[in-house]
Amino acid sequence: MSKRVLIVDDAAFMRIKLKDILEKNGYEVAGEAQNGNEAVEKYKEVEPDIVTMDITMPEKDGVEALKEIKAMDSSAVVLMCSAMGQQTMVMDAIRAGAIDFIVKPFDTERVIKALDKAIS
Amino acid sequence: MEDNSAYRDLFFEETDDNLAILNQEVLHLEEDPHDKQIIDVIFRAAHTLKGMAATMGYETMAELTHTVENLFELVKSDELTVSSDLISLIFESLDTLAEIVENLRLEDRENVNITSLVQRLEQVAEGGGSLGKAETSEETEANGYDFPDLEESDGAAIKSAESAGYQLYAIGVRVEETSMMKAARAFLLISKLEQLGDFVQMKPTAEALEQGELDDSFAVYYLSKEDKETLLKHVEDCSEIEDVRIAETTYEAAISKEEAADAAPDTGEVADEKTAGSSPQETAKKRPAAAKQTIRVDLTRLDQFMNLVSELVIHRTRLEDVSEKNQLAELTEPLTQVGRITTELQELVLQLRMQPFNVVVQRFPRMMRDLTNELGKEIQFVTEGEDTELDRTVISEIGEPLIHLLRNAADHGVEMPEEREAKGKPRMGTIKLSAYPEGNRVIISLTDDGKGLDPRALEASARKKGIDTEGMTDEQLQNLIFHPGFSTAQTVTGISGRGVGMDAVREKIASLNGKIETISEVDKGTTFRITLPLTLSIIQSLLVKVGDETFAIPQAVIDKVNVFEEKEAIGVHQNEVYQYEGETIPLVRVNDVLGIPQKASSSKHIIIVLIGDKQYGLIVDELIHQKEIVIKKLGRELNDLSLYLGATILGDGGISLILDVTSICTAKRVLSHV
Repeated sequence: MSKRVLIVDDAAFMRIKLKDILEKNGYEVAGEAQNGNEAVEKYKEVEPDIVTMDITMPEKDGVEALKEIKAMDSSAVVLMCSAMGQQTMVMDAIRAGAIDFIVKPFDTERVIKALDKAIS
Repeated sequence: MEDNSAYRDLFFEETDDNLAILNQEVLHLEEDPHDKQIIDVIFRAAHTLKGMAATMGYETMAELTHTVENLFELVKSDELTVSSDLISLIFESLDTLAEIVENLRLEDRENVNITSLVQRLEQVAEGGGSLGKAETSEETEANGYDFPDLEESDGAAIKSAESAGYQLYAIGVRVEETSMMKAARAFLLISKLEQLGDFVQMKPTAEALEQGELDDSFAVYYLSKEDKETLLKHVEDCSEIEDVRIAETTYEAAISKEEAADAAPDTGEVADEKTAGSSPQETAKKRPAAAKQTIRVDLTRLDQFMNLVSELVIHRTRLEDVSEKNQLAELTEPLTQVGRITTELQELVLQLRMQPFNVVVQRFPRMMRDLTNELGKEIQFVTEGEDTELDRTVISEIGEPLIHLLRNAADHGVEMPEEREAKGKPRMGTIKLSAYPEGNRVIISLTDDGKGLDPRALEASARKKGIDTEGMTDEQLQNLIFHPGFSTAQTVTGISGRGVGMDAVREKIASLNGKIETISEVDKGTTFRITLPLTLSIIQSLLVKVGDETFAIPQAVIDKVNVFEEKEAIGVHQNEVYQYEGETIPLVRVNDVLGIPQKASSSKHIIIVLIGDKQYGLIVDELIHQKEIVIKKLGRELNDLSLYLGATILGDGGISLILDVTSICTAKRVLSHV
């Protein structure tokens, strides 16, 4: 059974790209969210196997959303998606329990490798 | 890139540091092309620059540093030999980098086209590297990890942990070369390992990692109750990790290099790609014992600290006054203590502001190399006393005048090789820059063995420019180079002198409370001797009374003090002069300049001061005593008061203004012309 992913990113372009990458590599996109608040709601609703979480987003950023999801479900598997230069926030996310991170711009192979490892 | 703005300052600071290191080390490399240690330093600096640039999203800079780094990788693996062409190309790249950094600093845009430079660098890399780049990188980088040093205290901790069932592991991790945010990647792994054990030492340090500093690999000593397989499994789910090696080890093995190598065969791999078998081991090189820990501090805070300490000193003096006046014996002992501590504080804060002369000097060898090539001369540049310490302000201001003097020495001082041979001198000229402390002053001297300052040529040139040289001694003629608008260069070159400069040099040095002297002999060479105060904020001064006011005069400018009698003033036109050691010098009545009524009854004194090479006699009403004073700048509102350097607070709490003797003497001249 393919693994179910919740994509969180404020940019529609990024969501489309990620969705494309995921679906071509045997993942199922269980839901999409465009900010941290939506991410938390969607997580409750769809109960995904893994979340790809953008860091910089309006309303609630990825690190905050990660913390809330982790508070609800400590076994949640969350993969951070960071832009270059956000090293400090990535480290915050790791402290908050992110399983791994990928850096934009995405490279299909890297995304898949990180996801495969994260849910292994 | 708003996220980066917080790191901008840090980025520039570190980039400047690394560029300085590169310039310096590449120069060393030219002298000693086979020194592996130098190559390592260069490689590391280039790598750090690349990492920082990429993190900041400065793509041009990242690309250029990446190309340079590749080149040095080839040098490192002996596939490319260091030639002077290569050095020149590297220098060109460094200049371009500096340009990019300047553009970034000013307008946050890179704005430099590096296509052709990168192409040339790549050509050199391809021409030299027969094995090709990819293979090279694997081969050189698979050579073990750079493990941290264990301290003695670690030994005890490890021993007790071992008896509690822990195992010491040596773990080396290499992040994929193309991976971004390597430090965060390492951090991720470390956080995972932390769940199962404790870190003894890591390299780079945790602080460095948090700052985002990481090359490709890191190495740790780690204690855990888990076995190797469990640990490997636990870190296996991190992506973009090229290689993880976990080896069981012991404290003894870890501190001795050979034994560490023995413990190594027991390695495991979770690499995506297979890497050449190698073992974690202590670095062969002995690291400099416990590198000094430093932090960067904003200079304004240091100034503030300095100011507060000065204030403390002032109030301590006041307390001492009160205690003395009221005969408070009880107070004496604690006051002595306070006195001792404040003195120590004062010394400490002065030391904090000190920087080694090397900070200025390090960029000169590179400049002199370029100059020498450009001029077609042969010049050996020698520096001495680089660790002499100077006040931070002096350090930051003295560079420019020194550059000017160095350029002059290379351009006008040292002759062409043929000319030198004809004079019976070695073909290669020498320019020596040295610094050394002398009492509470620092002397910087710059000596060349060139043609020296020819008084006749200077005289002729001065006449042409309409400067009166009547009755001047040779020394005075040589000092003409400091005359505004004077240059002896026959043609104006891009390198030195357009006739502005030497006077600016002297002015700059004077503004630092220093002075510059010239000693020169034709065909033997020229020496410039610059005397600078150790610190700019505490000076020796002479307290004097003019009318009913107390003023301080900086001791540095005072030549001599005499009793003055009215009959000694000689009126010439509307001016007054004074006979001093056979010379006639202008008289300046300080009370006139400051507009203070004269005191009739006082016993007047004349203070002979030296401004540049000219003496003046200042008439004051009364001498009080000599005193060390703390200069306080006048507030911005009083900026127009050019006659004062600042103010100081006296022991009794009174305030006294510090006279700017230069302005007072020149102000007098203006007045007298009216």
